[in-house]
Amino acid sequence: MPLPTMLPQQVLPFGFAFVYAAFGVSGFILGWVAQRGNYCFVNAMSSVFTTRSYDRFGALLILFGASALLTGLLVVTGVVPAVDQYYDNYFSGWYVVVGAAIFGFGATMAGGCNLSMLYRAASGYVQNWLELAGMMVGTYVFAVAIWPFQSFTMANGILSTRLGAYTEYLPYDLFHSVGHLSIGVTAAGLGFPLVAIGLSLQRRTRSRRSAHAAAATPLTGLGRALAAPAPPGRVGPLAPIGLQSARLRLVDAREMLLLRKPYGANLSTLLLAGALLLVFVAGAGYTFNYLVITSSDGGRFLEYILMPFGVNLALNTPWYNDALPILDPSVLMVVMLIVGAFSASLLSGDFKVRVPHQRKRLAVGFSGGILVGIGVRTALGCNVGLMWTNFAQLGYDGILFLFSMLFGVWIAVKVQRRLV
Amino acid sequence: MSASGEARRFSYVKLIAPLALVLFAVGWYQFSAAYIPSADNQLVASDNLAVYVPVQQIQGYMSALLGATYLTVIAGILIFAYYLVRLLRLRSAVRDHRTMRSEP
Repeated sequence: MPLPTMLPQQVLPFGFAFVYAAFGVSGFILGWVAQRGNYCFVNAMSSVFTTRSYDRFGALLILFGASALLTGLLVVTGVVPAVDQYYDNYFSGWYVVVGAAIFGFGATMAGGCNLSMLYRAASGYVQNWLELAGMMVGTYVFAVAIWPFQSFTMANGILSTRLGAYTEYLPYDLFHSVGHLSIGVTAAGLGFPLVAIGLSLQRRTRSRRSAHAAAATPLTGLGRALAAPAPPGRVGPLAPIGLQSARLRLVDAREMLLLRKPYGANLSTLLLAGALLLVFVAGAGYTFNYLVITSSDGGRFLEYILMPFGVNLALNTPWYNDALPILDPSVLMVVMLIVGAFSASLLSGDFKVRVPHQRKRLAVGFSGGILVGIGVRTALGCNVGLMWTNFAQLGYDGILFLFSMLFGVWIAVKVQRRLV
Repeated sequence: MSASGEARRFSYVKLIAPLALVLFAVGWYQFSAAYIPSADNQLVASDNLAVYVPVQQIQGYMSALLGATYLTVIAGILIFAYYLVRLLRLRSAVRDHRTMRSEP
């Protein structure tokens, strides 16, 4: 049987300026939506352990499922060639499991995943500025202390796969084919259960919450109480996030457009999935056509900061000199994500420079950021660039990452309880 | 709330933040133009093609970034102008209010 092709094909013939622009637009959408929806992977996971609320975690599962279904649909209908879906699938191995657990722990301690770290930093949270700085330091520590060993294990297949691409592509692993039928069946088999589980978890949480609220205060406006936005910038117990509904009422839509009301978790999920689809199509055949966010850019920004001082890490520092292109579309994506989040927070009146009352939170933010940097680089990606992306790639690293990250978050929640 | 109360509550961060956004956008463009192509050339000179980026990509980045910079600068100036007008209106309302109260 012939092996699947490894020649990516371009879907849109508009060149790199268009690709970079599409990534920039996508980054802006990500920043804006995540800020308005207070979308944080770590909050979603930690609330499972702290308040037993599955509302946001359910939204995450819906995001992963919808991404798998939509990218699968684009491939099955021939809009995007299959090779552009599997070409950039990463290797898999011990590092995904270990890195995701370190990342989950560090991000929970620091107060934000890679996505929320950026939009909160852009909204004035000083703790997340320090997390970002810590992440740069952590990436450097990884590069000089861990990468030489890790790349050795990857090159020699020690607890690691050695090929990536179609060998990590579930349709190929399950059916030994990258035909439309196998891709469609795999996308449906992965996507529909995730969406169904997500919706069911949300329904369970909301019905439990409704029962509690009805028992406690039957005469207060339940809908309004549930629609109270979650306070931004926290890890731990979240306030109820609202009655999500597929049909938005006009008045809600107007309030959201006027930035008076935050976006619901499921609306944010749909918009974020749209941002992923934009780069999936626009970047096909040109570059890594998924969302990347800061997992690489934590390192790249340190590289950029040092350039004016005459230091070019790409010349002789491990990882920087063999694994990190000096530029890719994620740079513009991250810059525009910051612009989008900053604009949303400023226009909605949320923007404020916030220094935590407890100064030790600054130290925790910085050291958590170091762990985030080490974790995401060890895992070869972050919660967005690897976990979410890999569901859209129809791979299995995302599943590994999800469970390992949950473990790391669970440990961090235990540690936080001890510290408090 | 009264105009004087609103004027007192007006945060000057709203005026400074859009300017910071404009400075960030222009600064990032200037940084990219000054350092990224030359760092890429350094990689070619040292035979490190593993992380080298083809010139078309750099050009694509600079074109897209230029457009994004224009848009960000325009948006930043518009937001600044909006808040400036709001502040001036509030101050003028406060002044009018004081004048009316001081008149016999």
